[in-house]
Amino acid sequence: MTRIDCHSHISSKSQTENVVTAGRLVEAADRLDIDAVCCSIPISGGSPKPAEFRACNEELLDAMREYPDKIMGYCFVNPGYQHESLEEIEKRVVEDGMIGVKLYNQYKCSDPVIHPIVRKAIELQVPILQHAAYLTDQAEAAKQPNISNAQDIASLSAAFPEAMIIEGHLLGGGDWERALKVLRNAKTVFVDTSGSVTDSGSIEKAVRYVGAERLLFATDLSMEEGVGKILDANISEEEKRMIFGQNFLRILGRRGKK
Amino acid sequence: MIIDLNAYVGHWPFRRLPARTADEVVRLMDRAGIDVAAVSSISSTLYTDPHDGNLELLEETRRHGERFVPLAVLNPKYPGWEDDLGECVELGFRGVRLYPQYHSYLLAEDECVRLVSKATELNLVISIPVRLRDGRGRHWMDAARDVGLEEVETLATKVPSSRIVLLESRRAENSGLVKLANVYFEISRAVTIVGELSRLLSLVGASRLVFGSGIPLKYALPALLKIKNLQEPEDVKEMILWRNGQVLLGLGAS
Repeated sequence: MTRIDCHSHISSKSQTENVVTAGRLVEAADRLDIDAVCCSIPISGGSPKPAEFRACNEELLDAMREYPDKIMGYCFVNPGYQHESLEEIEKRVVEDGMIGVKLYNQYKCSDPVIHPIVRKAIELQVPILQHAAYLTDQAEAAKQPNISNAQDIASLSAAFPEAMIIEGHLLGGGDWERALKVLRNAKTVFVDTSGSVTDSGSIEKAVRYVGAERLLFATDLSMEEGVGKILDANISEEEKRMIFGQNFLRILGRRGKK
Repeated sequence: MIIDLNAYVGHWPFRRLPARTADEVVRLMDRAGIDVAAVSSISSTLYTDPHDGNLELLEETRRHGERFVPLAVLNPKYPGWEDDLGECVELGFRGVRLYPQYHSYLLAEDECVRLVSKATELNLVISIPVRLRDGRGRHWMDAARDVGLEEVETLATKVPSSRIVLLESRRAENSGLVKLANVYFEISRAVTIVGELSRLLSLVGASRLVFGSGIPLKYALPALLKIKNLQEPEDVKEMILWRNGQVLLGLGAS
């Protein structure tokens, strides 16, 4: 059963604590029979300048070159720098072989500033992995005022139904049940299952609401949590196959084919 | 053999669980290969009198014999806990599980210290979950805080003869708890990719780590995979999976 972790990270060289090197990630993935890991190096605070997001992508490219069969890359950009972001996406996807675009919390994805990025992703036929959560804890929410929630993602998908938008880490700490209720009717949105939360019944409920064909296995570095919750879920083997890899292979297969 | 130190039976008011009754929890245990589970009542989180949850738990679990080790939920701020504790010992409870985040007290408060001292005199293990759910997506009626590691440290220092099993903790390896020999750590939330579990192991040794799954609130397999993938000899894994739990719960050698 192919396992592709569609949402993960390696640390930037500037990170000093809880460092995850490409080598460490690959080792952990091997122990869990994960065939490939799709990574990004986002900058989680402030409004990174083009030189900063380019540097992140350059570091990621080094990891992709070191582990060409194991690590795939998402190009991280700050949509506030539209021209530079579009150039960066074109270069990283077309020349460097990255497989998608990573957007973090610089803007809500319902903000029109995102639209040129989405059009570029549609042109290149690559997915956008959107950092997302619905944080009910006010202190947590205040830390990320521009974090996108499922409603923002649903709005974006309604405006661009041909886009492949992934709601990041369904089980990343926010109200995942609310997200499922919203995304049930946003039929073109994919949902990744990553995050440290391992609430029992969450995967079964996700299958019931959005369907196994729209769920994508991921860890976001919660490695055993990511694999364990899919294996433990009371769903069919075929549904597990779809979630673990088949759905994402289909997304990868669309790259550059428009 | 697997002994789960972090399991529950009962109704969780904020989300539908796939298993609530003892029969249903046993099915989860069978599926995961868990032989014995130390359980407390989830209903006791919000019952005004948590002892009613203890009695319910016993009614639920007794027909499953040795599969369950019941832990009593007591609230040191609520009258009658000493009587309830005595009754629980007579009924065969092997430990006390505290929910300070739902019963609105701090572990370092005098009443709590007194309860833990009394339970320790009775040779009961003390089980404390840092949390029962991830607070970032908490229900609007669920205002429970995560229990602070410093609270646990104060309690463990004030009652050095106690045996405290800390559930659902993160980053304990960076706390003063590692120096307190009477504190044991359940491993389900340790982030392995950044080395939390291996650091904790190197600091406190295998004798102070225990397996816990969090069922039926959480899936069982993630915690099991953490032990399976631990790069340590089998005897270390056995200590974590069941030997330490066996000693803490006072179960007979198998």
